[in-house]
Amino acid sequence: MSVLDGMIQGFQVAFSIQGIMFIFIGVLLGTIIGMLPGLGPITAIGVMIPISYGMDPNMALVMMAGVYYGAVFGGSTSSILLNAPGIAGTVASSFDGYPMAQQGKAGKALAIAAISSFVGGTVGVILLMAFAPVLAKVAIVFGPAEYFVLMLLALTAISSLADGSMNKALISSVLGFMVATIGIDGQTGTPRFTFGSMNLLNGVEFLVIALGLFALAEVWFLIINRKKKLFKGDGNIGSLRITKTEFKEMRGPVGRQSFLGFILGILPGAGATIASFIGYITEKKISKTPEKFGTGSVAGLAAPETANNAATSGAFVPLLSLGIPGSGTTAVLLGALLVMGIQPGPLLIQDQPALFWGVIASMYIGNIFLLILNLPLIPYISKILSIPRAMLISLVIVFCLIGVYSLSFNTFDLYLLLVFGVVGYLMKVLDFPPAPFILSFILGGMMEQSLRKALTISNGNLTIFIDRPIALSILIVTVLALTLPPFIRKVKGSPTI
Amino acid sequence: MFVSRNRVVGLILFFIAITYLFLSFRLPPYPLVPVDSDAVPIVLGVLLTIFSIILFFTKETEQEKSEEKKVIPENKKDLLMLLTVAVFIFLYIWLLEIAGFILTTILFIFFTTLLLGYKRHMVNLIVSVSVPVVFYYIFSYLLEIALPKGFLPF
Repeated sequence: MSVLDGMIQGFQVAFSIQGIMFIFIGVLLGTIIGMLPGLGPITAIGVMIPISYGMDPNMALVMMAGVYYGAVFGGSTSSILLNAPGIAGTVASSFDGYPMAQQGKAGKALAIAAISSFVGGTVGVILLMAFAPVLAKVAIVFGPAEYFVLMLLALTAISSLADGSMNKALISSVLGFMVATIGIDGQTGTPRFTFGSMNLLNGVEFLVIALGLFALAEVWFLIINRKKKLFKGDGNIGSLRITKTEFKEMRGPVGRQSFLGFILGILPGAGATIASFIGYITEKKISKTPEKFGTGSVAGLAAPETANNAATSGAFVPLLSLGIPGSGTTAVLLGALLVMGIQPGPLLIQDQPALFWGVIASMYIGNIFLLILNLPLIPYISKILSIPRAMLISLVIVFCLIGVYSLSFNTFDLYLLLVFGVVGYLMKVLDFPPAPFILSFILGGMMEQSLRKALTISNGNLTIFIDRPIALSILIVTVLALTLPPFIRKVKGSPTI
Repeated sequence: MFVSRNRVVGLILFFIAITYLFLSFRLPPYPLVPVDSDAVPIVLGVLLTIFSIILFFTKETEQEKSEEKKVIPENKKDLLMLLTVAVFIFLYIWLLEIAGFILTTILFIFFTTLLLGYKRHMVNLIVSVSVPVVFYYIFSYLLEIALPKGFLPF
């Protein structure tokens, strides 16, 4: 079947009435959950998994994708209005967005954010359409050796790009991998680290980790800060109108960051957070009026908002065409896909073109929905921020518990969720980043299997990773990813971006 | 002088690594594969041992020290609150399959919200009753996922 046929099938999926409905549900719920303080795309995807469980995989996938980019979109709203970003990917948006809101121009800031996000997201999808099939074609020759080094690269990249101590990020990855080794070994059938418990034979459910480390861990912070009011304003956000000069100011950053953000999104370990910071920094550097940045500059808000949404589309490239997530969030998305019985990877585009192109096509519609949701309807949606914290906390806890329960029907997993909730809290207190943990937990099983398959092929000879040119070049990049960033930091003398 | 956090955490991680390594070495061998099930765990255990030693000898930066304050409960009251909520969650899990989803969830939402200082009891009651009922309906009828009924007839 030709590529065009596949695309047409995909568009049929996305443009069906059912498709449009699920895209809408996805982006709406994503926006709402992403807006809530402390809750980001990982929680949003995690909570939605039980709902998607029995659905048609095509519809489930477009909905989940919608939840993901919807949550990134929604995160910017709380960054601007509250200076309390729901996720790390929108922290940079608060630098100029929040000062703007304080000057009574919240509506304007939200409009700039919405338009920049829309452009970034849409350009990202167009680039995704061009890149993903090409990469899938290249990846079709990949054997277990290439897959192993690629995943190794993803893990080292996320650790070395993490904020703060690289050693702590590496510890976090190793711990995640260790948890992944719990259960029956796929190759030999040996039960490992189960301590005789029947419940651990199948390993730890990934939703337990995702919701424990991200959602439940955040709940403890919400409890400590429960007295802070969520939304100080009276719900009046001012005019949404953008003037012609402001529009002109946006044009440059939006155009540039759509591409830069997308490229950063493809790279393993980078993702929306780094894209938004780099977007902000580059625009500040080339700006004629850098002193305006941080005081409510239009360009300073447009740049990170464009970049993080373009990066979100970029992150789908390795996920869909290689089946390898490059960030914590896409790792959870991969986990969700596996629950639905979808295995992303180079064969997806051949075997299930409707699924592959369906999700890409759905992003066009999803971005339009987001623009509608975020421009005229934002005053109403932002009312959700006036939910009292006490109520929000108890509801989030219930969502987490029920999410896990409806996947495993086992209270043992709920106790485990509580344990990982505490672990996640401790990690946060002690500055251990949770993203490497979840990524290596999800990649761990696959990595171990591909390593052992590769070594079975080579009869235990480690040179298989050096003899194959693609594997060798990825390995070299991995070593650079591990050694370069700390080196650059040392030379520059600045801790992190 | 107070003991640095990195030392304590490094030490704990070191013990986790050693225990994990010990368990890895005791995994039963399987003769027919070139790489057995203990290979990857042993590598992981060694890596964690190395990283924990590095952490043990890492000095804390000033930035880390100042950041610590925000996230740790400032007073005993907050800590007590965290523990109480944790106990509530524990009770919820314990009661879920005994008393059923609806009843347990109503009690949990109402009392947790109350505990956290929400004063409008009527609103609280409405939310804590309607959320579980709507959820139960969505899960049982739309998604066909059976949540625990408990001793209630519906």
